[in-house]
Amino acid sequence: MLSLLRQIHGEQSAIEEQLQLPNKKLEFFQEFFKKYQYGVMKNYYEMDKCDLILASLAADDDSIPFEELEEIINSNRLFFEGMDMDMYQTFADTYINLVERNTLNEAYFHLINGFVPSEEECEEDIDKKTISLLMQLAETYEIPYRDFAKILKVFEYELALNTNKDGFAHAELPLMHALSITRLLDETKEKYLGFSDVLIDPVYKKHMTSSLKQKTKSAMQGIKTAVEEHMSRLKRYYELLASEDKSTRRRLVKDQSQYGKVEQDLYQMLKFPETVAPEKDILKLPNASIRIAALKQVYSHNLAIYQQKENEYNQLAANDASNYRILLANYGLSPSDYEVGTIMNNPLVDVENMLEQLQKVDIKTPTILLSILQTSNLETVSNFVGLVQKGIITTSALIDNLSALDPTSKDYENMMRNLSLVQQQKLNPRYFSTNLESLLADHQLFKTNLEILGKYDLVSSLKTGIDSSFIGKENLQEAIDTLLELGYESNLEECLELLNHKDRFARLKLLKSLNMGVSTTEELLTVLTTEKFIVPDSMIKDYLYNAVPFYLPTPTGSTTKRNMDLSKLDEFQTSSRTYTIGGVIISKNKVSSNLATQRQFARPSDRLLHSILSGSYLSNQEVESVITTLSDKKIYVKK
Amino acid sequence: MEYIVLNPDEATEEQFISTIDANNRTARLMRSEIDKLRRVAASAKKTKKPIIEEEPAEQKEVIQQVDEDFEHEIEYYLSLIKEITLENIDEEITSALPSRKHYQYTRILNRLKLESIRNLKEIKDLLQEEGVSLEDLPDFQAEYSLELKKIALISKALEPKQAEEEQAEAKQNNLIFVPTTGGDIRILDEIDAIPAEYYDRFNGLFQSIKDGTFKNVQRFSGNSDLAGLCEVKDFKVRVIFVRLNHDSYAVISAFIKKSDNDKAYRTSTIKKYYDYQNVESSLVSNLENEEFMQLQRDYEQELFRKLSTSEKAPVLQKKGGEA
Repeated sequence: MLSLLRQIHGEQSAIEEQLQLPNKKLEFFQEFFKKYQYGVMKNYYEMDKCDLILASLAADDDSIPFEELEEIINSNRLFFEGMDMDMYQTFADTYINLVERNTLNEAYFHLINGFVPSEEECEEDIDKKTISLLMQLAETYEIPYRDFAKILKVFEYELALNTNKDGFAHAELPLMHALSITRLLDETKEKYLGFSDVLIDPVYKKHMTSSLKQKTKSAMQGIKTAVEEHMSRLKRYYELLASEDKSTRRRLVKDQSQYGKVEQDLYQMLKFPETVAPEKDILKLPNASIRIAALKQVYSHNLAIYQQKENEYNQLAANDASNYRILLANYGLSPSDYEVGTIMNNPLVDVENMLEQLQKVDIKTPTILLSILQTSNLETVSNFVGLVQKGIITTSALIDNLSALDPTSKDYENMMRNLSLVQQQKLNPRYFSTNLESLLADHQLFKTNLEILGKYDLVSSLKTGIDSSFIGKENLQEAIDTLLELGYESNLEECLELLNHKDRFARLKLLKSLNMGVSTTEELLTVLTTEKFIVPDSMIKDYLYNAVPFYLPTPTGSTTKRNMDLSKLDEFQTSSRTYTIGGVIISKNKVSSNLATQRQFARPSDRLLHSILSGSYLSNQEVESVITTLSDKKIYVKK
Repeated sequence: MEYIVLNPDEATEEQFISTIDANNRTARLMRSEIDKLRRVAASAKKTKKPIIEEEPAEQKEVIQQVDEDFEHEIEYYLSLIKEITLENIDEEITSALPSRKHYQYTRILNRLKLESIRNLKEIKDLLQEEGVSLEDLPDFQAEYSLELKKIALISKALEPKQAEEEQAEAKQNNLIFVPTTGGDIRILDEIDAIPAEYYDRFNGLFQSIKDGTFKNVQRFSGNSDLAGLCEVKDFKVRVIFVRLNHDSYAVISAFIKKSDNDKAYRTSTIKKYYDYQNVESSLVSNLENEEFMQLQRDYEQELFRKLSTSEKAPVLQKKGGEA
C-alpha cells in the first residue's frame, strides 16, 4: 500500500509540474496573433519575417521541439531575415548534396568544432570545399559555426517533410512557403500600395487605366488569398494548439483530481478496514500500473470484509429456527415456538454440542433436555458433564438440581465457588457430592462450616459416599457441641452424617433424661430417623428440662473481648474436643467460643462458669456436679 | 452465494474489475439475507429464559406425622396410671402397663416414663417461677414423690427379664360379658351377625384384651357421652370395653365400622353404654364370685369357639417396630 501511495504521489507531482510548465509554442502563437491580428491584411505587412518563419515551421511538425526551433531561428535571425528564395534554394541544394555525398555528418563535425578545411583540403576534396563554403557563409552572416550548424538541422527537418508526407509538394514546405508569403507581402507592399488598404499614392492611382486597375485588383486579390490561406492555416493550427492545450490541461487537472480521490480512498481503507472500498475512481486513472496496483488493494481489502460477512451469514443461516427444530427433532424433542426462541439464545453448534454431551451422561428425557437447553449454555453443561464423568456428581443428582445448570443462578455460583474452595483445601470433592445440596449450599456458609469442621478436627471424618448436606446448614457448631456433650464423640467421628439430623437431636436429649444410652452409631441413626419415636418431635420440648439457665451467672456489663486463660481446665481435658467436669462432658470449642463473645461479669470465675455451662443441656445434678468440681479446684467460687 | 477469489499477483486489470463487481453484487445479496436472518434472530432473542421453578427438595427433617394410634394408646395407659396413688402404686402399676408382649412395649413404657418426667419438670418450673422449694409446697411434694415412684417402677418394668420370668408375668385378663336388657350376651349375638371373614380380626382383638396388649386401644375421653369407654380396633373391626379392675374388662360390643357416619355409630354405642351402666355395679360386685367368673369363662369359650380359635391361639401381632 505504501509503495502504491508513493507512486500516486509521484504521478500527482508530475502532473503538477506539467501544469506549471508554460506551453511556449502556444504562447508564441498567442503573441503572434495578438501582434498580427488575423484577417487584417495591413497587420501582415508589419509581420516580422522570423516570426512568420518560426510560426510556419512550428505549425507543420513537432519533430524539432518548439523551444529548439525558436532558439535556432533567433540565434540565426540575421541569416533568416536575409534569406530569400535563391538563398533558400542554394542552401537546400547544398544540403541535398551533402546528404547525397554522405558528408552531412562531416559538415556538422566541422561546423560544431569550428574546423575550417584548409585550402589544400578544399582543392583535393570537393566535399571539403563545400563545407568550407558553408563556413564562409556563416562568417558572412557573422553567425557562429555552431549556430550555423543548426540551420542545417532546419533544412534537415524541412526536407524530411518532403519525404515524409504523401503528396506534399516541394512548394509547400513550411520554410519555403513562409519565404514565399514574405516575398508576396514585400512585393505587395512595394508595388501595389495604391490598391491596398494601407497606402494610396493619389498620383499613381489617378493615372491608372481601369483595366490596369482591374488586373492589379485581381492580382492583389490573388496575393491576399494566398496570404490569408497561409495565415488561416496558421490560425487553424493555433486554434487546434490552444484547444489541445486546454484539453490537455483539463485532462491533467482531471487526472490530478482522480489521483487525489484514489489516494483518499486508499487512506479510508487504511483508517476503516471494515468499510468496503470503491473502485470506480481507480478506473479513471491514466497510469495502468497504478490502476492494477490500486485494484489489487481494493480487491483484497473488500474480499476480507466480504469473507467476514460470509462467516456471519453462515452462522446466522445455521442458527435459523428451522435448523434448530431439525436438530432438536433428531433427539426426539418437539419444542414450542417459545422454547425454540429461548434455545436460540445459544448458537446452533453449541446446542448440538450440549445435546451430545448430555447424551453421554444419560440425560435423555425430553422435558429435562428442553429445560437445560433453555437455561444453560455450552460452557456450563460441559463443566457439569465433566463433573459427572469424573464421578464427582451423579446424573440423577444433576437432574434433581437443574437450577444449578443455569449459569446466572445462585446455585451455579455457589457450586463453582464451593468446588473451588474444596480444591484449594485439597479435599476430595466426592466428599460433598453424594447429595448435591452440599455443593449448592451458600458459599459463605459452606466455607464457615468447613472451618468449623477444621476447628473440631473432624475434616478427616469426611468420606466419599456420605451425605454431607450438613455442610450447608446453619448452626453446625451447635450441633457438634450437642453430640459431644451428649457423649457421642466417637459416633460423630465415625459418622458425620449424624449432623444431618440435628433437628432431631432433642430426641437424644430426651433419651438422656430417660437414662437410655445409645451405644452404636447404627442405633443412633435409627433413633434419629425413625418416624415412631417415643414422643412426636413437635412435643419434645415439653418433656425436656434444662437446669442450666437457672444456674447461669448474670452478666453485668458490655461486651469485652479479653481472652481468658483456659489452662486451668486442662486437667479436665478428656479428649482433644472435650472436658469432663464432675462427670459432665463439656465441649472445649464451645467454652472458647462463649468466652470470645462473653459479656462482663462480676467475677472472672462467673465468666468462666458461664462459658462452660451456656449452651449445654444438663440436669440439676449435673450442674451442681460441675459447680462443685470447679469449686473444689478453686476455679470457681460458689456464691 | 460465493465470492470469487483471484490470484492477485497474476490477475489482469479486467479480471480485477469484473471480480470486484461480481463480489460487490454477491455482498449486496448477502447483506440482504443477513438482515433477514438478523431480524428473525432478534425476535427470537426477545424470548426470555424461563425460570426453573423446582419444587423445594423434600426436607430431610420431615415434620413428623403424629402417630395417632400410638398417641391414643398412650392416652389409654395414662388414664390408668392417673388413677394410681402412692398407696396403691405397687399393686396397680403392673396392670396399668401394657403386656411385655406388646410390640411397642418399650416405646410405650418410655413414653409413660417421660410423661412422669414432664410432670416433674412442670413442678420444677413452677417452683422456679414461684421461687419456692419443694418443701414449701407439701401437695407438690406428694405429687413429686409419686412421679418419682412411677418413674422408678416403669424403669424396673423396662429391665429385661428372663423368659421364665416373662412367662410367669404374662397377663391373663378376664373378659366379662355384658348382657342385654333381655339377658342375652350382646357380644355373642353380635358375633353371630358378623360375617365369618372378620372373625380372625375379632379373635385378635379379644386376645389382645386378654393378654394385655390392647391392640390399637383408644379411650374415649372428654365430655362426650362415651367418656370412660375404651375400644380396641383392627382396621374396621371394633371391640368396645371398660376396665373393671386390674385384670377384668367388660366387653360391651363388637362390630364392624362400615361407614364414617359418626352419628349413627355414636348413637348405637351410647345406647349400649347406657345398657352397660345399668349393670356395671352388678358386674363389679360379682368379680369376686367364682360362679359368676366361671360363667364368664364359659362365655369366653363360647366366643372363641364361634370365632373358631382356641384360647391358646396365637395373637395377631400388629406389624411395626419399636422405637
